[in-house]
Amino acid sequence: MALRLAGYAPDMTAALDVDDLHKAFGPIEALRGVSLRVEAGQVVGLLGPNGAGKSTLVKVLCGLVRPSAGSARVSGHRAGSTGARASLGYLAELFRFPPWLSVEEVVAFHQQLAGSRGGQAERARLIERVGMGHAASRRVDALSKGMQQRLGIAQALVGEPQVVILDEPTSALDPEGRRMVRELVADLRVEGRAVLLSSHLLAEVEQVCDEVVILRRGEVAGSGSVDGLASEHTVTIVTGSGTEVHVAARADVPGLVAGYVERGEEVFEVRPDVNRLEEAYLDLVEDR
Amino acid sequence: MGAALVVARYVFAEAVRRRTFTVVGVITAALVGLYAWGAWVAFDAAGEVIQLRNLLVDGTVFVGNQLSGVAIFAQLFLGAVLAVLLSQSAIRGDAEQGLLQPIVARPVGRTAYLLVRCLVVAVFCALFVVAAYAAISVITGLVGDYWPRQPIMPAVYLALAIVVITALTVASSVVLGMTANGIAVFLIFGAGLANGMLVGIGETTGAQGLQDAASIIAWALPFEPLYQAAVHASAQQADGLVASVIQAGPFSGGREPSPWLVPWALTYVAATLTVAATVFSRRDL
Ligand SMILES: Nc1ncnc2c1ncn2[C@@H]1O[C@H](COP(=O)(O)OP(=O)(O)O)[C@@H](O)[C@H]1O
Ligand SMILES: [Mg+2]
Repeated sequence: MALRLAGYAPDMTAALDVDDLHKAFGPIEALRGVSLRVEAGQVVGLLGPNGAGKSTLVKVLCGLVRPSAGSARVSGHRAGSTGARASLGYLAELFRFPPWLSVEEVVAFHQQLAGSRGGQAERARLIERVGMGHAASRRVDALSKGMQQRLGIAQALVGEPQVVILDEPTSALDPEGRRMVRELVADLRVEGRAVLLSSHLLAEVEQVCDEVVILRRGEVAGSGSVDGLASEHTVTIVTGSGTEVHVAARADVPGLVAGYVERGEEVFEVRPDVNRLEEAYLDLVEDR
Repeated sequence: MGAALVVARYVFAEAVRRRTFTVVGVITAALVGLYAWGAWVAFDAAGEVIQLRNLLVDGTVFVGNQLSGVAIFAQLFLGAVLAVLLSQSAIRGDAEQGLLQPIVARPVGRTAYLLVRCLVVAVFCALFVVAAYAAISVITGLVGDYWPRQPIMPAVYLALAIVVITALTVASSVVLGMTANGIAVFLIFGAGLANGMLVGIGETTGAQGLQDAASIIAWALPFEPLYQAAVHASAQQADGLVASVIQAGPFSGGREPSPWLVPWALTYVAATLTVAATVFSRRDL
């Protein structure tokens, strides 16, 4: 009995634990039985086309939307409870900060709300981290959308939350800003925090996430490691007699090439798909 | 408690830094100045005694009643404007703009947020009307030697009327977006005042049915009887025919409040906010 309890303990304390979650907005079923887990030190990408339910799932986790059925837990606390809200940092997909506050005041306000004791040092570090050091005293109504998104990211990291949930964090960012987010997420992973990153940008997710969950019409259409998801895919082989495309897992490639060689073909080029995740994603998401 | 204080400071800073506050402040200062000038002209013109047809009326009592009645109406109106502007988008309006979500995703309870938001705006606007009332009363006293019959109670009734309006505005902001809510609250405000006039007409004409119906509606919108109570408490009493003349003016005289009015208004505010907090706690943002 003690052993069983010990065995279950990690289950209880997953950073995010979603089980058979349903959410209906009137007749619209935004979530239809979604389950996923994110552990500490793990970066999970939430992918899916517009309207798949990504933001709804994220909002349930942050306590903004009440689930219709199923369970969602944050660091072991029921999503929406004070404990759950205290352990996470959240960047909403659509948000605004009070236009009459300065960048630094917004961060200070959220430090107070989150009960962070980081003070001026934490403020300066976070504002610098998102590349807003030059605009710390500027008012929100004088910031571009991208600058506001950077501020939103700094806000989400206030109080060193163990769980960070970012909903489309790079939608308004320039290439430099996108790289900043990638590096920042990598840092969070190293620090052992759990990150859930919702995005429709596949390349971005492919570069920073350990695991991917693909949503489609409120259901998990596929999930796994980035490599695993993309493993069974097409390989383009260029030989002396022409170009052929094979559906093949990565592990099948040597065999395929050996086959050509055995048949006496000259193999000039073996090319796995460049956008591998994109292919896997489109396969899972498209109507079949 | 800590988070509630943080939200209180935030709402207060918002009230001060938004232009609405400056605008209302400037308008109020202009009106107070205009009032001082108007009072001086009116008391001067009236003199000791006014002759209305074949009725001789104490000039100070007559002009003082009219002026302070109008002034209390203006205080109620400006206080209501301020309360509505500061809280019409408290919940849904702010949520539609994305201002609310980053705050309530933090460990601040939604009920605490709603109550603090209402409390800060209510206190702020109540202080505003009390200050305006004090300034106007002192001006009327110095210019015309007309002082409120009860100096404190009009301020209490006015402040409570503003608290009722703030609670109504915050409560309906849970379901209505900013513009719709502003319109709705001002319609309710206007309806309450119009209903109060019906009570007055019922009293003057002796139409009992009208008086009864309008009185019942007045309980449903208690800011209006509170306003009438403020006018009543400030009015220096006149006798007989003079009293009737004063009572018939649209802004003067007021109505004597029921002893249940203040307890009822407090219960009304508590019930309104309880319903609002319950609806808010179940709402998807
Ligand atoms: N508050 C709401 N009321 C009604 N329908 C909603 C609401 N929020 C989301 N939806 C619907 O739920 C579905 C999922 O939306 P969302 O989670 O925002 O998708 P995504 O973030 O993946 O683009 C969509 O069909 C959307 O129209
Ligand atoms: Mg979304």
